[in-house]
Amino acid sequence: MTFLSSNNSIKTPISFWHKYHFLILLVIAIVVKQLPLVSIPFNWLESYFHEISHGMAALLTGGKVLRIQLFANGAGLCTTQGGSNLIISFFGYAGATFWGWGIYKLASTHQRIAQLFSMFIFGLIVCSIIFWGKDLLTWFILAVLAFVFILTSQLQKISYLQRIMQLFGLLILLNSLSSPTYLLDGRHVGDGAALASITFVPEIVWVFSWFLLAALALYSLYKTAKK
Amino acid sequence: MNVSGSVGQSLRFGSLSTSTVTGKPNTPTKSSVASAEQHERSIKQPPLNEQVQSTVIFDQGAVALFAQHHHAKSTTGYSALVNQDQPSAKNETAVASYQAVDNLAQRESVQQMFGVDVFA
Repeated sequence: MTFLSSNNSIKTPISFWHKYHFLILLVIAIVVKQLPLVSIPFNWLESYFHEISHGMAALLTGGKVLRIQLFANGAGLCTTQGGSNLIISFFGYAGATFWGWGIYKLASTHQRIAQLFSMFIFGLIVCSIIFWGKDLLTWFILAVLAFVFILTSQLQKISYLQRIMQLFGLLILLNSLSSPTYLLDGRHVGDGAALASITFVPEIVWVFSWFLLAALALYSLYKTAKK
Repeated sequence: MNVSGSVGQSLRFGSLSTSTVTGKPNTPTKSSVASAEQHERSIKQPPLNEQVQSTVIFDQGAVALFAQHHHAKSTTGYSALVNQDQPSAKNETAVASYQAVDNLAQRESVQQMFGVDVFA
């Protein structure tokens, strides 16, 4: 502390980063999302975590996952058999929010944890390729995502890995924030429509709840980063 | 009645009916010829040398009796013969087991086709 106080040129950037790193990463994430080509793999990332959340909900409620399909435009499909339709439908967007929040949170905990978690996600993607991917495009998209995570985990400077994982977490969260609003197109298709038909609660209520969940997760990360 | 009995014998051994037509001498044919001869004697009483030559082939009464008897036999005797060809219970169980395994795969494919949910 004494060292930092006597040397303002060192203290100022560190404290600025510590104070605003969340907002800086958030701005970077928003910018990346607007870039035409660069944003594509990150759309796949959010789509993958959305579909894998459906799949995990199916497995946890006694069902099984038959297939996961990912498309180049960021769309995805998860084919399941058995399990609770209510929980499986809900956990698409909610699960993606949870993944984004968890990735950011775990990456912030410790650099080594960030590295281990990166390896875990790599393993999950490889398992998805083996067990649930059934077509060439899905295999390709999952291979790109696996490559991104293995590349990230091999970074020499682990602090970079930590920041990149935090950025991934924020990108997933931002997608979770915006994606549910695409359901409000009047076509009555997708997870919101499925939940509405199961529970008789209007689709807009579900869309709003997913949006609120993602917003709360972002706010939670912001509050944690401020401390 | 003797004629029907001998005819019945020739029916049981399928190859003997051919030998009856060709007139090839063998033991069952001989008995068949003798029986038919007795029957013909009771109907027509032809000379003995003529009787021997025409016993099997031209006796219409014996043929009609044979046909009648064959029809009566086929209703009861044929089903008994078919039962002899039935597979044993052990074999039937084995076949059923193989079919059950085959049906399992089919059932799974049908379930995969119809009992699935797609989430976007």
